[in-house]
Formats: sequence, structure tokens, C-alpha cells
Amino acid sequence: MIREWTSFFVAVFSLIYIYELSLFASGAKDSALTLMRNPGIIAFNVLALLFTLYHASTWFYLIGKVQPIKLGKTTSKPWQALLLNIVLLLIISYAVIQILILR
Amino acid sequence: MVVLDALNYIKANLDGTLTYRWSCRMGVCGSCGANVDGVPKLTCASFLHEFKGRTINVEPLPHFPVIKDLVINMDDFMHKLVEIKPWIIRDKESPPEEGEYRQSAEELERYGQFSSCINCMLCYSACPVYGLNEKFLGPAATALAYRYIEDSRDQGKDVRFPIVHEIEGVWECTLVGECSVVCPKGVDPMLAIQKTKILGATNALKSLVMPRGGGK
Amino acid sequence: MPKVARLHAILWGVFSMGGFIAAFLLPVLIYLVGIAYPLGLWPVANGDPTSDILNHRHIGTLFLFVTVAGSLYHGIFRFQSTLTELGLARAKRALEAIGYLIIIIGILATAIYLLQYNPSFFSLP
Repeated sequence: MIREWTSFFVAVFSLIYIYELSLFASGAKDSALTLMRNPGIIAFNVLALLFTLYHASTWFYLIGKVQPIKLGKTTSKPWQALLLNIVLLLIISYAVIQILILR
Repeated sequence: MVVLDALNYIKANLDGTLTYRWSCRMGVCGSCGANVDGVPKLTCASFLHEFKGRTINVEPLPHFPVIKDLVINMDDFMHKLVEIKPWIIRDKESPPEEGEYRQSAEELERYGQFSSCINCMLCYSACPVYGLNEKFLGPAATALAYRYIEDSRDQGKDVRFPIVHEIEGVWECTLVGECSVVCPKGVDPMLAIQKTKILGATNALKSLVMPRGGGK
Repeated sequence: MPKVARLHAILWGVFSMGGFIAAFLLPVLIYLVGIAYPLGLWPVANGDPTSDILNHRHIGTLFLFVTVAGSLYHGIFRFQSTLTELGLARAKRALEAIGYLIIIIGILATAIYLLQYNPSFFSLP
């Protein structure tokens, strides 16, 4: 059931962020940033991040189960898919930060 | 010693009216399913030493109407098994003189796991979705349908896809996964359902993009 | 395939893609806008992450749209499938309709707000 509750956090964070985008679009950037600095919202975001990472792990494991990859005679195992995709997630996150923030 | 032995002892010595199903007593016939301490299990595969020092509660399999004691009505399950047409469907049967339909070891491996089902119904008892919606096709029936869909000798996708891909087919499944946990034969029906969902989604996409040539 | 099931199959396919988006792209977005910047953690660059991202007119806007739209869709779709288990089977149809409405409005709103911020999105660099 926990895995299904990740969906709640994913959806609610998206809605909060859409609201923040509306403030940016109408030029009220400061209100947006004040909202994100609200301690309650930060606490929610920490939970949202944890639940999203949990979703990611269970998702990667399931994909590894449903679509094993054949390399010669061996077939991949779900935990290998999990590991590989976690590495991929870290690379993508780092790339996003490098390309969209630090440049 | 197993729970089935305990049931047999009770029937022989304490209460001759106790009614329950059993047959092979070695986990291959699928007859003796029951709720053992809240978990759907085969009574012939539930070892008494696991419950040492406790009182064991044996109840009929949940999600099925009870006929008497541990005997449940399995009509719905039997109906679903037949519904997915569990036999090889060919466009055209080749005559016996032409010999067998040949199949490689790799082709067998694609569906072999899903052919191990012994129809014990533990997966239906474990599935919360089936518990809430009797119309749900369910784990065993879908796994069996997938077994035939993946069988290289079968040409019955047109017949089976509409059954598994209707709303009460695979789409009701929310990936709880308990079916695969309780399965005594390692069939992994959750995996079969997931693969069938992927087939359904790609098929639907194909029929959108190539309405005349693609999926059906 | 009967028409209704085919639609559901496609909706499930989109949900599946949303699952990948939520898994690969959402964590870094939550971290940046929700935790790193409010708490002053790495990678604090200049102002705020949303402005930094949107300064990359094309790929920034695309990243935000795909991540937000995909995650919203996935989250609501998945939540809808648990309605039966939450004991809300009777209200399922109504709640599903509300869910899809939120998805449509949410995705449209995202697109509109992003284009409002970057009106020159569709013009070549």
C-alpha cells in the first residue's frame, strides 16, 4: 500500500509546483519563493522526495522483472536492473543540475 | 507432519463430519487450499513445526462462497479458466501425418513458468481486488491466458486479447503482488498480468497508428 | 479490442511513461525547488531554481513541462486505481472523472504558465 501512496505525494507536489509556476508567470516570483520556504511545505517536500525515490526503486525493480535483458546466455536479474537504473537516475539528476542550474 | 495430517486426524478421531478437499498430499493437485493462520496455503504444504506452540486457525479460502467447513464453491474460478480458452488455437490444424508442431527450448522457456499452475486458487484468495470485485479476471486465469499467448504453437491472440484486455481483465489489477507471494508453484501471475498489460498497451497503440495493418 | 478497453490500454500506456518520468526526472526537481534552495544546500547558484531552469528557454521549459505533466498524470492515475481498495468503489466513477479533470486542467495550466513566462518558446533561438 505504501507503494500506492507514493502516487499521492507525486500528484500533490505536482499541483503545488503548478501553483508556483502560476506565480512565476504572473511576475509574483517572491510569493512563490516565500511559499517554498514555508516549513510545512519543506517538510512535505522531504516526504515527497522520499516517497518518489521509493516509487523509483520499486519501479526499477518491477521493470527488471518484467523486461529481463538477455546478454548471450545469461538473463538479467531484477536487482541488477534496480542498481543500473539508480545509477542512471543519479547521472540524469547530475546532468539536470549541470545543464539547467550551474550553467 | 503437515496441517492436512492434522485435519485427517481430526476427521478420523474427533469429528467425522469435518469436510475438506485433498488428494495428492504432495503439492501438485491443488485441491487442499485453505486459510492457515490468515494466509492462503496448501494444507499439505503447511508444516506443523512452523506453528509450534501456537493454536492454528484453519479457515476456508477467502473470497469464495463456502459450501461446508473448508469446502468452497469454485464455480466462478472454473468459469474464468474456460473463458480464456486454455487450449492451442490454430488458424488451420495441420493433419497428423505432418507431424508435431515443433518448439525450441527457448520458445518453451517463454511460457514454461506460467504452465506450472495447479489451479489451487490461493492467488484469488490473496488478491484484494478480486475480494472487492468478483468480475476481475484474476491472477490464475490471466497467467494461463498469457501461457497460451506466449506459446509459439498458439495462433489465438485474436481470441484471447479481447478477453484479457477488457476492463475487468488485466486493467483492474493494481500490482499488489500478493498472488505471486502465495503461489506454491512459482508461477508469478503478477508478472504474467504485467506482461499482458504491456501487450495490451502496445497493441492499442499499434491499432491507432496502423488501423488496417497493425494489432487487432 | 472493445473500444473502451482500448482507450484504457492507451491511458495505461501513458501512465507507464509517467512512471518513468516520475522515477527519473521528478526527484531532482523536488530536491532543487523544494529542499536545496529553501535550505541553502548545493547547488545554490544565483537566484532560484525555477528561474535558472527557465532561463534555458527551450530545454528548461521542456524539462519542466514533461516532468510536471508526466508526474501529475502518473500520480493521479495510480491513486485512482487504489480507490477500490480504499473502500471507495461506489464513488469510483465520479472520483475518476474528477481525477481526469484535474489532469487535463493541470497539464493545460502548466503549458499556459510556462508559455506566459517564456512567450518566445516557439520562436527559433
